[in-house]
Amino acid sequence: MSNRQDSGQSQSELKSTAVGVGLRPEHYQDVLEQAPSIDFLEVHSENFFADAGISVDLLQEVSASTPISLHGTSAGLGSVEAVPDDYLKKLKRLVDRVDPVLVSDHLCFTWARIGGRLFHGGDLLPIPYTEDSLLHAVNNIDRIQQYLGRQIAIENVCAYIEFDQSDFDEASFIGEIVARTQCGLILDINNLMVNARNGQVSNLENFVDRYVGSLDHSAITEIHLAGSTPVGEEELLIDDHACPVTVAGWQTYERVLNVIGPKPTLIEWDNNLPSWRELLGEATKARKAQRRVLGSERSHESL
Amino acid sequence: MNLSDYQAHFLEFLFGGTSTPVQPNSEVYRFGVEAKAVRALEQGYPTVRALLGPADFEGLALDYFRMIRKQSGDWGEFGWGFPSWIISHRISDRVPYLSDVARLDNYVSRVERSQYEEVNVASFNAIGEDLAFCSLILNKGLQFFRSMYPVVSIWEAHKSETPKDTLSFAQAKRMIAKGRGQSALVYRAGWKGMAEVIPEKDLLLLEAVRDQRSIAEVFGEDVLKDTNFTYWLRDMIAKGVIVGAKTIY
Repeated sequence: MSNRQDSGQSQSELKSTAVGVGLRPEHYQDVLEQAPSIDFLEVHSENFFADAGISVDLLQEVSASTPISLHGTSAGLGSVEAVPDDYLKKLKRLVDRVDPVLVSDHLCFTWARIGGRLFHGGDLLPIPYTEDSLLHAVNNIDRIQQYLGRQIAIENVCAYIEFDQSDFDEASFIGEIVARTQCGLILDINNLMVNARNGQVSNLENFVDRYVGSLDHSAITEIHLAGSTPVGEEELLIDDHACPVTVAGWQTYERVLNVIGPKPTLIEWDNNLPSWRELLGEATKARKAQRRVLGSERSHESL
Repeated sequence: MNLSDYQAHFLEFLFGGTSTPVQPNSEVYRFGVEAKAVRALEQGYPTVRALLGPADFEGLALDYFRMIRKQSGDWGEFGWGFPSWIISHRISDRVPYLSDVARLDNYVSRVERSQYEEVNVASFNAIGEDLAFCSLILNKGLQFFRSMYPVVSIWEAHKSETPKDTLSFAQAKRMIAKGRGQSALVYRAGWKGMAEVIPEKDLLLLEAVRDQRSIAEVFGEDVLKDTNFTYWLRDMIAKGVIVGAKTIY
């Protein structure tokens, strides 16, 4: 199925240099009091699945003036089980309500059947990169794209466990999914860095270059930036989105921009939230980073 | 282990059904999901949390998560069975009104997420001379119930940082001592879910309206004969409880 240039897309499209931030309930009041001066806002889709209420009304109001990127955390695209109809119905209703510039979710699993009953794991659970996983991920992504009548994007996740067997490395696995479904790709730089650190990768720059080099750059619809709370050397680094993007994060972002050119960029911050003003400050840093890179690589500049 | 078994086993581990991790570091996910489950219940059941305190509430929330597990992709829906589940939990021996308080918390959350209907003023023209041929329309988004405990007073008191200093707390204490309960009406004012005590007569009226009985029938009941229909209707319309009227045959 081909969705990349599908006419089912939202009317509005983001500029390649657009920078957005995640909108969380703690900042609703700020957004209501003053229209945000930001290129787009990202929200977690499931937080707006209710029939009605303050969140739904607020999002509809904000979406009239600011483009919305709907980022799901619960579809479980890598589940062996098909994404349930009830979930798809709620997502479709939300898409119809806010006409988002992007609909996305993570490359992980969440649904599984235990004793014949379907349960949801409540987190972004890792999948092995095997032929079998590929088949299920492709089926689920196709199913959602067909149901919504538009392209979705998938995001690389942090994985805290390692699998004994795999048929692909992560970048090739994602590349195969993109090729088979024509879905878009969200490149989460913090997730890459967390996986590299937990996997004791010795040279982050080489790791990122190899990873990004093997992706289809035209499929990348959004870059995600976030920070993780530092931990001791022996401890696992958790992708908690609880602090500012690190210096290494900004350096990696610029390195990636140099290779793939400008892409809409999102600052994610989900825990230990800063003030709205501070969050917008992180977006300004992203714009500055883009300008530094675009200044030397004008050829990438495009809408 | 095939992919399907791996995924089922992983969830079983998350829900505490097995202590054998799928892979090293799997407990990172279990801690994360348990924290989310507790947070979701804290948001949905603020009065229950205030009554029990954070530590006991966390224990109760984890018991619920491990037993009932998560069945929807939306954390906002997680815990809708919490009030009835509490009845079978040992904590109900110590806090017998906890289930009803949870029910009230749950109704307030539901009302805030529901498609609340607007009052259709024109529809009241359907109320003609003969009240046997018209009935009132109840807002589908609201909730009401009867409790053996003073649930609304308990709910009111625990909105305060210092519940024991509130009049509602004193009232709840008195009523519990006398074995008296309250009937609660849960409705929405703007976006906010509200609860208030309603007299038994009002509860009977709302039940009759919900059953789509005619106005004549509803207000003809012996127990309700003293109720001033116009006054009552005006109050219910103001709260968005009654949203219209219709002709019946």
